[in-house]
Amino acid sequence: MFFDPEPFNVVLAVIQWLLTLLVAGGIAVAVAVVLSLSVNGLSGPGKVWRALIRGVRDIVNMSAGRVLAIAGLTWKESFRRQDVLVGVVFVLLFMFAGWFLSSTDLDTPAKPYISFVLTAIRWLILPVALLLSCWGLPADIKARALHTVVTKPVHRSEVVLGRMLGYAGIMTLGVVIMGLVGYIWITRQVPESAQKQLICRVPTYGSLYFLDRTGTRGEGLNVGDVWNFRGFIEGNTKAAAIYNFLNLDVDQLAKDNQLQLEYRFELFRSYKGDIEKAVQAQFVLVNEQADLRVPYPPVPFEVREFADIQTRSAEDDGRLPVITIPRELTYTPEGELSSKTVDLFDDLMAEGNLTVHVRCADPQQYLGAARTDLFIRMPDKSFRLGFAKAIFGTWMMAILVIVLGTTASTFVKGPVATLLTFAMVLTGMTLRPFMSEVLDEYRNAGTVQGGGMLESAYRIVTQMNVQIDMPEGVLTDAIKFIDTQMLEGLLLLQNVIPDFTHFDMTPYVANGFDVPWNNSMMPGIATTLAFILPSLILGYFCLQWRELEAK
Amino acid sequence: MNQMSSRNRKLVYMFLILGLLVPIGALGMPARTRSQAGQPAQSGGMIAQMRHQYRLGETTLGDVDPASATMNLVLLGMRGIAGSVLWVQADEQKRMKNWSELEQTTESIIKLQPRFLPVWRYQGWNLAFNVSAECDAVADRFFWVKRGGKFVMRGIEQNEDASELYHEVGTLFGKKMGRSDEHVQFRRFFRNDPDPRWNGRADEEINPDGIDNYLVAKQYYTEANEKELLPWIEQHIMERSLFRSYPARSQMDYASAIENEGQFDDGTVNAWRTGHNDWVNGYGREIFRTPGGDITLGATPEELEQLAANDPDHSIDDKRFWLDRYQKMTNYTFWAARSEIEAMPEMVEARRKLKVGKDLFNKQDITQAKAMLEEGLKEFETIFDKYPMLLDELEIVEDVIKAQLMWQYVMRLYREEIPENFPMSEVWNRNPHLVNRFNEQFLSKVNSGL
Repeated sequence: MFFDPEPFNVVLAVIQWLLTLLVAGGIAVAVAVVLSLSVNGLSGPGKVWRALIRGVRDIVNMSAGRVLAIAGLTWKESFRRQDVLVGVVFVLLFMFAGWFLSSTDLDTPAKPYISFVLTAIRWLILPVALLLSCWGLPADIKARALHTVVTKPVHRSEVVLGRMLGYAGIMTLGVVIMGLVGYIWITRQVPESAQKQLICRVPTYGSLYFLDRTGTRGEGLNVGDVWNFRGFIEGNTKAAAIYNFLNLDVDQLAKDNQLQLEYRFELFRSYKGDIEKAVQAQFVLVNEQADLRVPYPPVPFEVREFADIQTRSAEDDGRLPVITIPRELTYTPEGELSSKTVDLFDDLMAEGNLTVHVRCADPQQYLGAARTDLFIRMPDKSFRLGFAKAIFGTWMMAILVIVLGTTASTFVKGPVATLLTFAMVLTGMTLRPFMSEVLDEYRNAGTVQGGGMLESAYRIVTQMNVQIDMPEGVLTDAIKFIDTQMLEGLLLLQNVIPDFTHFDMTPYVANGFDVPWNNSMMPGIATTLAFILPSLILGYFCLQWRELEAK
Repeated sequence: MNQMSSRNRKLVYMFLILGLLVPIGALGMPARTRSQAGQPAQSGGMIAQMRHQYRLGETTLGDVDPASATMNLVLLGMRGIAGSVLWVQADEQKRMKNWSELEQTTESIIKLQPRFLPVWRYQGWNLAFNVSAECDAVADRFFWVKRGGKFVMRGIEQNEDASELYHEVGTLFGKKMGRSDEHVQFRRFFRNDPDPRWNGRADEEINPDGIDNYLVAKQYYTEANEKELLPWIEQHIMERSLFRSYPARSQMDYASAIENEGQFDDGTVNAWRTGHNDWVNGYGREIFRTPGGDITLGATPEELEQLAANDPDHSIDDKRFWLDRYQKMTNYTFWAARSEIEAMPEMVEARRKLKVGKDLFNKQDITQAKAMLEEGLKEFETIFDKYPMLLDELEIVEDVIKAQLMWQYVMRLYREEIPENFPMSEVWNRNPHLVNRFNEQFLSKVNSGL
């Protein structure tokens, strides 16, 4: 598992959200004005304006009591319709899950158990949220129940919000119950030997740059690996991988009187050497300002490659790739004869920063490092906390599905609303990374390798390689024109499709890491919040204009 | 318009239903299992019997994994798509060196395709060869080779008659463990696992008896050969005469390996004898169907004539021609002679002397080394005079030349003249390129003090 340590930029996200809201709102108002002109003539824009004013008033003056009353009704109605029967499926799944997971294999780690529970909860919650939210309002409209409600002093915005809150309540109950059962199941099912893997490591990542064999700043070497994730440094030269950890909470770290560095380096041998001995490396803890360079461990250590904490063999072998640095460090500075003692936290991390130089000790052997390959391991948190965060991610996903589904159900019937919402969820979960990749390429290069949808289809049918230019002619011009327009349209609309990948926190928990606030929780919360207000507005206006007598 | 009353129609339907029950029962009655009634499994309806006869039922192939069966049912025919997606994922995880997840994906693939032998073979090989090669520590490499072997062993549980899978396990435990760069460590770990859970014993899952890796491989190869004889089994790994030679070859690999590790006792002699017996009296007596009719690789001229007499379609010349072709393909004559010679106590003794002489040289006890090397070479000369075919056996030739280089080095140190007809000079004179190559290596070793 490789995590992206880039923090979420809240300010940028809010600006982007406001811009998207303005553009989408502007387009909606423009369309409404044009439609009203065609239907009502010159009085149309005035009607639109009045509707907008009324809308703002309705939304601002919503009554909490009425919203909660509708939410309560929604809650009761769901129980009456036995929507909670999904719990039976959940229980069945867990009864037989042991078939798929339990094994006589002694090396089975905790990871598949955690992944199974979190994935099962996600995929059980999703259809329930989808069906509940997409079928409620259309069923009310069909039964003319909503007709009765809107004749009471209830704003339609309150109907939409009440519905959303009611469904959210049911989902909350479902997620909490499933989460609790799932947690108990994990703790009981995970083999005794793998119980130690139920942890929540808290990594603090730094930035990374390389020094080449002459000691000048450069790139890490590529040793012929197709996957250019790690840069390699040559052993016994001036080459080094330099990690800078900034703004560390030194007081927190100092409580333990030690610092834990966990690594996950890769090795590459240019000659076989002594195969019974692993390639060696050394850390040098550096404080440039104080001119301190403390090697630790004092002698190079054998690198434990791929010995992740999540594999049993590593644990039992005592091969955990963790270097524990004590508070007091004694070393002999270069060119001096007497040894010196320094304080790790007071001397080396005086400004809250720490620089670690990683060097490979064996000549002509190489050590591969990436930014996430070395981190400071803060005090571990409870597995319960990480699991709860992952369940919270699933809950946020359910809330977003409810918001989207309820909104969709205000302007289309149940089946269509279900399809529309499901398409958005599916796109947001699976296709959004691909879409972002394509649009990034289009934004940067002005074109996409292999072309847009039509060009790709043409190439697939004619079995034409992406390196070959399309034949010149009217057809190609037409294809390229349409593709470009579609990509431009997609650029505008990309933010309308929520990124559901933010809600999947399973990889963190399954790999024994805490779910980070900045990289995972924040984007999830921001995505959910970002869709609530626009969806409420859209749902309100759609319900306002919908002919409720129609079945 | 039907004129029958409602009651009559119902009666007709009932009789039709009862009438149909008879052929349905005859055709579709399920088979009893042995455990249920002590009856042979081929009991039951006609379909059940045919399923058993043609070995089309799931249970006839091996254990049915309930998880696998459920998953395939739940996927409602989408197994192919799910399998393809998982294969792509596995490839991506391999590219990103995400071994633990690769293993989990592989588990899912086999749940979907438990009877598809190439999945077991490919993924077992992938874990044992590709993943292990990515690790730096030998213990880690051994771990992944074991994982590959265990993976294919699980394939055997679900495909009991799959000769190819038995052969594959034999290859992983035999050749992979015994011929890799790390073969010294692998062979040691095979008997004394580095995983602390085994307390220095062998991993019981792969080596319950704690024996040599080549002997475990021989057991699997033997099983592969037995399964290969079943009429409904075909192996697609290699030509049949080569495929069936593996148990005997594995026995000889074992004998050769313990000898290379410095074991020169009755155990070595017996190991070679067993190998010779397996080769000549086991493998050499097997009948192979060739374009020239049936032959046995160890057939004497008389036996060949007898085979030709019983085969009206092929002449004795056909038989001779194809016997020669097959013997050359399998290197039959060479291995028969080699195992016979190696099983001789004189040969083991000659090898022991060369080994001891080399060890003494490395310990710089050059006087004793010279004597021991000279004795060993002389004993080799006697054996070579008797079996000149050994002159073409590269492994022995290599051993002899290396010993000669050491012996000559010591002779020069003592300022003694090297006689023209020094022991095994024929090997020396016949292989000048090998002499040059090994001499360079030898001198560089001596000069660097290794």
